Amino acid sequence: MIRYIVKRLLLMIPILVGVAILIFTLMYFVPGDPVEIILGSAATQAQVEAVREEMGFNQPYLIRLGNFLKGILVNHNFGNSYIYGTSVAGELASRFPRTLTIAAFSIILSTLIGIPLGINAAIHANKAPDHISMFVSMIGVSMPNFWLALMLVVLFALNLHWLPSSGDKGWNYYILPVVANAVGGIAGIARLTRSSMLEVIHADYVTTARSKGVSERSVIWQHALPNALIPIITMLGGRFGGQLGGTVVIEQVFSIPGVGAYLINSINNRDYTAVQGSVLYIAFTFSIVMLLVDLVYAYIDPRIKAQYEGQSKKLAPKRR
Amino acid sequence: MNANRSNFLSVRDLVVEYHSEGEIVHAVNGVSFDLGMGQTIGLVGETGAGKTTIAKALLRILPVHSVENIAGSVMLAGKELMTLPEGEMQQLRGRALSMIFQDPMTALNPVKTVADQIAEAVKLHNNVSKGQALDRAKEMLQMVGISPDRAGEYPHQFSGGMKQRVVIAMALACDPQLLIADEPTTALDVTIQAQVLDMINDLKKKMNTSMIMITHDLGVVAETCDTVAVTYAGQIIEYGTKEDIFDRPTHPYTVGLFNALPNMNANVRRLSPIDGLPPDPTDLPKGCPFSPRCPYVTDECRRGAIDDIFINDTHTCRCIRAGRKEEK
Repeated sequence: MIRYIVKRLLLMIPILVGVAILIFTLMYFVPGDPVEIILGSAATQAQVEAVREEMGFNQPYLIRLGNFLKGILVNHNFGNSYIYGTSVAGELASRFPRTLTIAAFSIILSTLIGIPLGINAAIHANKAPDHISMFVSMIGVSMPNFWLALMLVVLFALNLHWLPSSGDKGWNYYILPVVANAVGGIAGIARLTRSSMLEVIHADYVTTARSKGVSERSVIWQHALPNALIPIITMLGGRFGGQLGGTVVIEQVFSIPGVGAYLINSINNRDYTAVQGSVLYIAFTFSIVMLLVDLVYAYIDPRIKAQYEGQSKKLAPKRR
Repeated sequence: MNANRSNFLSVRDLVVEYHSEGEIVHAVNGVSFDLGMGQTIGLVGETGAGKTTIAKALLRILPVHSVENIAGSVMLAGKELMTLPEGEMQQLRGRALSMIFQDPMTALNPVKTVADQIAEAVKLHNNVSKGQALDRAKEMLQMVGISPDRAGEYPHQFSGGMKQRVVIAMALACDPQLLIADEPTTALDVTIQAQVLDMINDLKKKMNTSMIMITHDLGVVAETCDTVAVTYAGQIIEYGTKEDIFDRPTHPYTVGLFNALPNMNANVRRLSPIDGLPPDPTDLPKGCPFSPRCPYVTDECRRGAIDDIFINDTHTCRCIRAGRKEEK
């Protein structure tokens, strides 16, 4: 298993280098110029040229790419923001906890509420509890999160004055963003859990468990659910990985300076280093989350674990 | 069936109906039989004759969502199972009565170790620690011929025959008084079949377990059963001791089953099957269910339900010809 993890971690290096080259190339060809934004529209052509020369923008593509990769691989640094002059890595690190808070609590809520809802619907398939929870979750899935966020602000911040409407000066500032962000996840997970449970709930081994005298509760939670978890973990992992890259809309609506807000601002400002750094950070966190998801698979399903171990053995040197 | 015999298990007028796509499936239609302590009854019949449904009805593990109607009486050691509260039924399942399932490939939970799956019932029904339950599981594995070293392995690491042994070990782990074996050998190679049957027979003798052997294989019946119930379209159409059925098969269906077996002594080019197919359980014929396929059918057969006719004390047959044949 450890061999598998090491292998996966090593595989991340070429992936990240690939992402770095790709994002650098894309930014190179994107129209717009950070220098004009830095200097403003009043700057003369000579001033612009001078700054371009100073920042190395006049060098050929390959040299700039080489410098960029060298910065990452040798100095472990994404460089400084063109606009603000601050370290991109430092900026990302200071924003990361806010994004992590929103993403993590959203996923926890989705899991704790979505999975029991879905199980309940599956147990009572095609009866009232099923229809009600599926109807509600249909609304949850269909509702755009920015609209829900605004409605929550109107209700809880403007009318009831229970919670702050925006900013991040304490834990209570995160309640509305997390709820607004989690509703779609809860509904999606509930629907997926229902269909996934329905596939296993009539399996022979579930009947076997009943025939042993296992209580209905244990039959569902201990025998059926673990077999239904793989697609649910996949969806949770995908959402978590995506949200670690910034919950852009939620961060904008609630004015939370997270990773997503940083990326959007950087793109608008043609802040090349910041965009490149942010994208690499997203690729990195996503790879790590996906690795964790794969490890959770192995923990849940011994057949998948055996597969991983089989793969790793093939790579191992043959012992004589 | 002889009601005044004191019996360990007695099933009376068991009826199970499913609903499927708006139609009522008459799966079991008034089944009655008795079983003594340490005895084995064979439920014989084609696929779809309702054998597995009878077994699951005894354990009350039929799929709730598709059962339309379930009626009748099941007395096990003086206890009526059909009206027992679910909580008490749970305590009986796996301990008083347990079941060996047909398909070992799907009967085991793929994400739990075999030892855990065997130990689960032990832990539930006995006042023991997890460790003691696992010890018992290893003991059971040893008993069915699997090395206890493999206790921590998962079902996918076992062959089909070994999985079936695990299923058997699971069913026997709490020394059940009644064991229901639903085609325990169908999914296995012929060579393994004999081993598994021998093993079940040995274990049964050792623990004095009563058994219901569900099968469509008359060879298995000959090897393991004391009494035989031939089922057809959810009814027991002939019932008697093994000798009654094998030496004096009376119902045209039973006779047909035996005729369809290959005979080592006769030099025939083709086996003689029973013509036609079993009736559609959503639309059973009025009268005798076998009448559409029966070579001796008369108008009387189609008129209404056929009663059991006693051929001798232990042998009954649900065919109007049964009594008359001997008169002639």
